[in-house]
Amino acid sequence: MKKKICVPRVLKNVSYVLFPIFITILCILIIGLTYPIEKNNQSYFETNRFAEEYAYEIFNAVDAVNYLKDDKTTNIYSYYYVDTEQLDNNAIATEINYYYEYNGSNVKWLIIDNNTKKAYTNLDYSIQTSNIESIKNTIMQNGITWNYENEEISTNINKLSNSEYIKKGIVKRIESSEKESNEQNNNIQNYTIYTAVLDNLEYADEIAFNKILYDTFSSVSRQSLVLIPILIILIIILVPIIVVGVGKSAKSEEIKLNWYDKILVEIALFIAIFIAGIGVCFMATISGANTVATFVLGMSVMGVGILIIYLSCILFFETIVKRLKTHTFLKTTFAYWVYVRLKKFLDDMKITKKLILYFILFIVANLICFGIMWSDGFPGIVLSIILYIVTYSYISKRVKSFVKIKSAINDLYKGNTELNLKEEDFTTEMKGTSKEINDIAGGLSNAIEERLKSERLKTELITNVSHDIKTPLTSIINYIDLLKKEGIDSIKAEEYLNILDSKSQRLKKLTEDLVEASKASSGAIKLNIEKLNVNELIKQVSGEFEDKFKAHKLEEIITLPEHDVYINADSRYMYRVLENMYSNISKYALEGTRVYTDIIENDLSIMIQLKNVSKQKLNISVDELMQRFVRGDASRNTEGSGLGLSIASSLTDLQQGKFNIYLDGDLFKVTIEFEKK
Amino acid sequence: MYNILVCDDDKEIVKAIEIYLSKEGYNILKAYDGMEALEILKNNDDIQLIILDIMMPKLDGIETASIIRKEKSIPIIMLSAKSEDYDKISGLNNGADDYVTKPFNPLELIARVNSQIRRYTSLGSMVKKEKNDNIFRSGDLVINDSTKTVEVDGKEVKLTPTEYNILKFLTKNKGIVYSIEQIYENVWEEESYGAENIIAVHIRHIREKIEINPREPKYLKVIWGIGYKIENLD
Repeated sequence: MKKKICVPRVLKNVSYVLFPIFITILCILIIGLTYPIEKNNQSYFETNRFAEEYAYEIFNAVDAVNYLKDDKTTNIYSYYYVDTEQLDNNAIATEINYYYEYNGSNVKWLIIDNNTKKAYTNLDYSIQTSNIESIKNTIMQNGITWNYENEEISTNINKLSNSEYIKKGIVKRIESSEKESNEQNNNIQNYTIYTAVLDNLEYADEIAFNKILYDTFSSVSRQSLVLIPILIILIIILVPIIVVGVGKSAKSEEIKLNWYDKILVEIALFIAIFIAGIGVCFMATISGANTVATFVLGMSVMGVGILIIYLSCILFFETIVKRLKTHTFLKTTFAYWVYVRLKKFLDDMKITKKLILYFILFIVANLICFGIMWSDGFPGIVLSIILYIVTYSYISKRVKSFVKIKSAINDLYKGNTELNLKEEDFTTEMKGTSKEINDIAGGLSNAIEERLKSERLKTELITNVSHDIKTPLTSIINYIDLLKKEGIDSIKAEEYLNILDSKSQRLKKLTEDLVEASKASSGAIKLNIEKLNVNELIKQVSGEFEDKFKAHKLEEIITLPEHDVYINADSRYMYRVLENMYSNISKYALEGTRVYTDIIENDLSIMIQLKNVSKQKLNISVDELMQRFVRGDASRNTEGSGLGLSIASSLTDLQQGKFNIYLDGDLFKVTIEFEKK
Repeated sequence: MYNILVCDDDKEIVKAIEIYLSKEGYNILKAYDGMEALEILKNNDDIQLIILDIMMPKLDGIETASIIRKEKSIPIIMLSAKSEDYDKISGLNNGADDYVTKPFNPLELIARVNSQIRRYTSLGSMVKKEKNDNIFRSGDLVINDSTKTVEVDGKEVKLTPTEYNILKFLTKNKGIVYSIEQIYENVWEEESYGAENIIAVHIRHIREKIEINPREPKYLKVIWGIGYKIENLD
């Protein structure tokens, strides 16, 4: 099977390799371009930089000799050797002090103190010869040489064109050092100095290092300036290539997170720093190198150290990019971790405890602000203002939530179940409550809907049943009528026919009333509300029933207000209410009594009041009377369905009126009250 | 001899209607569903009235009526157990001229049949609506002020002078609602004195005389809590 290659991943890895290379080249270019070069095509040894360095070395040597001369036992440098052997020479020196530098130096010297006739050198002990001339020769043969004697400087070749500069540098340094030490006798004029720089620069000292730098940077030509923007662009291009490639693999589309990508960002950073630390340790093990071999070793150790540091950087960079890509960066920070736990702690806290906590926090913050105000003035005032604004917004948010909850409950109480509270509109403390209220509203609205639905179904059922009853009833009524007209000889048969007739008529009335009662109580009635004149209404209705009242020897006494009074109601259904009441009166009122109809005008309402004396004893409660199918006489013998009161009451309720019945002995009183318009 | 088509799926009801209407001198054609009724109508041009039930198999009364209406102007009386306002409106909108609910009062049905037949057959002679200032009318209610007579569906109605005056006032101003007080002041031409329900009594008497079913008046309408009016049927 062909191995899949994930192109972005490969590009990324290549970029990781190219990145440090480009950066290095860029650095060299930039440093090289800014590196001061005195003259074009100048050798390092011709530069003032070298002269400076050389002078410094010589100065150090003179300095060392000064100390050695004064105190033979003092270890100024860690390693030096004093040879007390007398030199069999007529020459100046009687004594050679061997000065040995651990790291080794490319600058070799022989210094002869003209006063004490002692000689000092840093030549290797092994090449040391017994006489001073040979040492002198060794040095002079060994490279670029320089000789200072009696304030005269002689150099071997033009390589040291800057010899005057070097001498001045040394003299200046020594003089300044003498000023500090106030030792007049240590004058450089008493010394004869032979010195040389090793041509091959075999020791890795400052001079050797600076020569490498000089050779590298001075080779950077001015024309390579154009490379800088190109490199910068390349580096800038590498960054997105790396970012795109991070987390990609040939196996799956998704970015896979390992354990390192899941731990807290701060811990990941700590681990990366720890790894980088290992790299730094590696580098720290490099001490000065005195040979090319140790230098190469040191360089490789340093390379490994830098590589470790670079890899640790990549490790941390990749995890950050992966986290950003999978949107888990913020969530894996320590700050977020703390935030989540703190929030949970506060959310779980009882509101009363929280109040105390916040109150204490407020007081503490306030005291701090006062403290700052007392000591610093203005910043304290600013902090106080910020504190108060924060506190106010905190409180006002909660108060708003509370007000919303309050109004929602009020809506619920008024019967509005369409609340749709949004949880995000509430503060944490009220979120749960808002959801609960929503649920209550939902439950309530369901219950109401269910009830309406069942009432509607009931009404529908009753209507349908009544249709089915009405058809056979039509035949019964018609054929009874036909039978009556046919004429029957038997008197008894005629009596029976009359009973059939009245009962079938009652059945008819009952079916009609049943439908109406169920409609009225379920509210399945369309109302046409208009402004009605109650005086007119009562006159009309009493006119309708005048003949019936007369037939039952009832006298109606009507008391109306002097001016017209109005209510808002449905004209037809208002008549149905009164018709039922009047027809009840004509049926159940005691014959020969008076019926009182009063319209009473109150401040806010109009009340129609009907009073009559019952024919039968009213051995029944008001509640029972209002129930369907109940009549004043429990026998159910008289005509009527027993639904009249129930229908009247339901219709009055539908029109926002109040229907009440009062019983006092045989006095039957009905009041119908409507809002005055 | 007028021919009436009675259509109901309940045979006994058709039979009963036949008995009642035969006594009035009508000839009855019988059908037991909508399709049958349409079939009879197709074969017989000499039919002056149709009585239609609504709930019937094959083709219901509403559909039958609307099919008949497309071709013929024969009066249709709907006869149904459905008594909701909605049903009545739907029946009248689909071509019915009248709507009687079951169980019906035979006398009422006969009166309505007579009324429809009179209207349908005498339509030609009724049309001579001569321009006469002394004649007031709304639909088939005609008041002749010269002879002081009132006719409903071409049949004279006897009214007392007070009833006559009230009816004349309302018919003259048909379509307008008048309260008891206004009627009193206009008819008696004097100030009304409050608690007066005499007008309401008169109105009921008039209704009983001119309406087939006083509880569901066609001409003299009661608007409870507001007043009375003569419906403008022209």
